Amino acid sequence: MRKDYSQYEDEELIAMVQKQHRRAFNELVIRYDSKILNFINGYMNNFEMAQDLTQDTFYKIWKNADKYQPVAKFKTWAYTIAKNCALTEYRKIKRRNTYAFSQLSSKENEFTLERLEGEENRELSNDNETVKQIRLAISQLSDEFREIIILKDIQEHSYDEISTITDLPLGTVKSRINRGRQKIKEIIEQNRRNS
Amino acid sequence: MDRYNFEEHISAYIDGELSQEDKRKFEELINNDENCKKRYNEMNQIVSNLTSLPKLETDDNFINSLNQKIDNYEKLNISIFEKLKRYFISNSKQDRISTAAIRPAMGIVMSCAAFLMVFYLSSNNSNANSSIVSNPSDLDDEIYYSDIDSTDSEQYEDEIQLTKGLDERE
Repeated sequence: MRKDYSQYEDEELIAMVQKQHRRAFNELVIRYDSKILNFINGYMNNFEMAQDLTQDTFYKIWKNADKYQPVAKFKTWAYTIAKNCALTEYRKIKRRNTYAFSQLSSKENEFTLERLEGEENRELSNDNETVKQIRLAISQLSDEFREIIILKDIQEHSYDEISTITDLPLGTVKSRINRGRQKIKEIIEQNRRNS
Repeated sequence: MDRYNFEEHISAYIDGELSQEDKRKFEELINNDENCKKRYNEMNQIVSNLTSLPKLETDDNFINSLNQKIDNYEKLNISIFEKLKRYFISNSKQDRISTAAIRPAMGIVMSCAAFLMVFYLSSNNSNANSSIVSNPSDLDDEIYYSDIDSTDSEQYEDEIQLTKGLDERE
């Protein structure tokens, strides 16, 4: 009889993955692919790129499964890998853009920055104007607020869960959620004024 | 809570994270202070926009292409030691052999292999060295003869012949 992997906890599944159980791994992919995709998209604001990085995240989970220690929740470990993948790529792009912009005159810089920030991609092009503004504002948040806002308002985790995932005290999570939302409001207003 | 630190609690109120007492004070403020009410409504609008963002889904072939990528990695990049480790782990019944048990065993095997390799190399080296410098006087001769060029050696042979002649006469 074939095992029903959906009945297992994440930590039981990753223990099986450590013994090369591909079906246990696929169950984890089914559980977390969309969550990780939305989490990474908060950094990239680009579906194609976010999907590639989601794949890289799971690839790393498979390759490094033996490094997982049961002291941490699988969810925390997976989000940490996803965050590292996203940040590495995000910084690479930022560096590339900074280099490219430095080759242009200041007027050209403004135009290119605006175009890149407002760049649309296939899956996000159906979004209405408000959704676009919000996605753009999330991607413009600083790292500390972006992560928390995605986990709270997009992934809909509780304060306690976010505290576990990010390894931050509950008080810090509460204040970052509040300040992060206020910053979103300020960024949207700023972007409206600029456009 | 008062209208000065009111803003710090807006999110917690919206997310249902305030205590009963704080919740009561918060509601009192938004009912009596127009400015507090305005700020609460603005934040509520942002939160509702954020939570209503459409959720993205991966493509249908996401899991297949991921598994393909892993298959390629497994085929190309796994070392012989990794294969051995996996062989032992996958053949352990009911997890009797765990990774923790495999690691020391692999360590011992690798140490033995390293020791044998060092032993083999050092014995080879000592054999090679002994064939070169087995007799130090041979080495001295080699150096002596290498210092003499061809004309010198002819002259040297003539001198030997001459000496031999003198010896015989004597």
